[in-house]
Amino acid sequence: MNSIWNPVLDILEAIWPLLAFMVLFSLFKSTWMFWRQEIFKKDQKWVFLEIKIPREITRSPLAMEQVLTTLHQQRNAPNDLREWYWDGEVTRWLCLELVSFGGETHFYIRCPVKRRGLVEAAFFAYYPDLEIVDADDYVDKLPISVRETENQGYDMWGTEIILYKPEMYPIRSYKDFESPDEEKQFDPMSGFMEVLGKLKKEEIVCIQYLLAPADYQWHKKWDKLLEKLKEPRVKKEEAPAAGGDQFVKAFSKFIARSPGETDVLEQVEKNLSKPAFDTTIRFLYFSPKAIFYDSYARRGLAGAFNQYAAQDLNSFGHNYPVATRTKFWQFPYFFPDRRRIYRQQRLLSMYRNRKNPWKGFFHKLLTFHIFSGYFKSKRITLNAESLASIYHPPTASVLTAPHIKRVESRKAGPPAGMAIYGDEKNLEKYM
Amino acid sequence: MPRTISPPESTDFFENLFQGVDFSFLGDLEDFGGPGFWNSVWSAGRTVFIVLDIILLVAFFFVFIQAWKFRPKIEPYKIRQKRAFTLRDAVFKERWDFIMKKASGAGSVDALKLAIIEADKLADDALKKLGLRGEHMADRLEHLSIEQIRTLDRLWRAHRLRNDLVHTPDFNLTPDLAARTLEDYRAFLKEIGVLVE
Repeated sequence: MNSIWNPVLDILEAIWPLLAFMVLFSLFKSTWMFWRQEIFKKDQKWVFLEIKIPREITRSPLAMEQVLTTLHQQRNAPNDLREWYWDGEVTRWLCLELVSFGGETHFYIRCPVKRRGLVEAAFFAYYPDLEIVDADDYVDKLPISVRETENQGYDMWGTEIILYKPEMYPIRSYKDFESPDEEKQFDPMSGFMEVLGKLKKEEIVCIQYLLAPADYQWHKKWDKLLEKLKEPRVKKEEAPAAGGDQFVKAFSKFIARSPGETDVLEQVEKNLSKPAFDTTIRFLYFSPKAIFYDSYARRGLAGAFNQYAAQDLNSFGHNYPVATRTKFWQFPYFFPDRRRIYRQQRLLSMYRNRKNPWKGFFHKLLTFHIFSGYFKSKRITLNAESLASIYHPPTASVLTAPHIKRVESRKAGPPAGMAIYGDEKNLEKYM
Repeated sequence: MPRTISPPESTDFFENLFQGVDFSFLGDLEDFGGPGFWNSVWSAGRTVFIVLDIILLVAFFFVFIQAWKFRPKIEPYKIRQKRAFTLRDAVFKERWDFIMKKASGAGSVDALKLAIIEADKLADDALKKLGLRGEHMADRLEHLSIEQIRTLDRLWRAHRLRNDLVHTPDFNLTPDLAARTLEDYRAFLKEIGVLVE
């Protein structure tokens, strides 16, 4: 026995400094990156804005797609060694939010202070009637902990949304809801508006979308899978030799692609052709204990997200290991109540701080908590079209007049060549 | 006069260059490429890696301690310390228990109505005791903001319902609505500390 292991031990004894170096170096590097990146994230300054929706928007969600495509250009990424390792630069993210207080729906946006002008410019270019105003961050009014939630007589439910299939497959986009026929025009936003509008007075639902522009080369990750999808299928057994020539013989082995398969391929390629965002979708539902009904959130809101599902393409779903529903027979089986409380707290504080889940094993390990692992939390990559489908100012076909506070006037620019009195600093330039 | 050209002394150049330099330190490496040479390289490299390991270990612990401070804090039992108003009064608690006993015992809508009106009076008395001035309860509530009392919205709602109850003839109070309203009062009293868990 000893003699078998001796050579192995000898080798180990000889090379352990090298092995230790490799392990220590990778540990050191990820911890270092975590430290620097957290500092970078903490130093960001944010501004919180409310988007006021006009009485009528005639633009299709294509306008929102253009807004997002414009915003994608603001992508920042570390370029040199200093930015990577010392500044710990990460891609700055934008936070779009859809919040309902007792049925009154608000659209919010949180962006880095310095980008405010650019964000406003992007919106005004496509939605001239919108108003973007400073607002108090409603998060301050939410409880900070599970105990506080309970003390206020509220119960809480929350989850994150993920895609069920590889991100290469798109969800159904707003284009599938459009039609030249007026009777066939729908706005998927109405699903959200109605569910949020049905809230009882005391209830609160908050949905947040954290968007960090993804690399332009994001499609490269899916090249292999796409290649596989493109590959023509070939029959297993030899085609009957019908006496024809070689060409016909070889050709008869192929199985023609069905129209559905062709369509999927087309959709996938289209999806990969547009700029994408690394997205975190998270929602919370607060309700007084007496009327708390977790199915409202679990099924009702999920229903709104389910509008975009297509069996052959992609669909949204809860990230169950993160959601605040714990059962005794779910892994790891112990302390379901305690796990629920810690998961609620994790989601609540992630929501309040608008944080993205961490990437990489060691970063996840560093942020691990025994009762709320958060290992399964992940960002999904959605392209501008998909995002525009799930978040855009509701168009005229959404009949939710009582649910949204609307701007009551239309806007137009002043006549050209009007005399302007005052100098640069007196002008309101939306910057 | 015949000229003689002396031959260049370049052949001796390199010999001259190293004249006087002691090459004895190379003695260890005289079997360059032999097993002895590789052995010494190996052990030197090993020593370098051991030193690097120690440096990395120290650096790792330093960075780890720094990184640990940025760990997200998961504290479900933490509550905001800033509590503007607190009132701990046994009499209030007794009154509340009494109201609840009556409300749950009778079961009729009238009993619930009475319970709501009494609960409102209790909340108003609590506000007075907290030192808020005003002619009516609404005036006293005006002094408060949602930052000070987180259940202010709910108290307002309950108070409005109570007013409807008192002033509107044939006000239809459902048991469900009554339970919610009482729950609102309870939340307020809990927040200011009259009722404990």
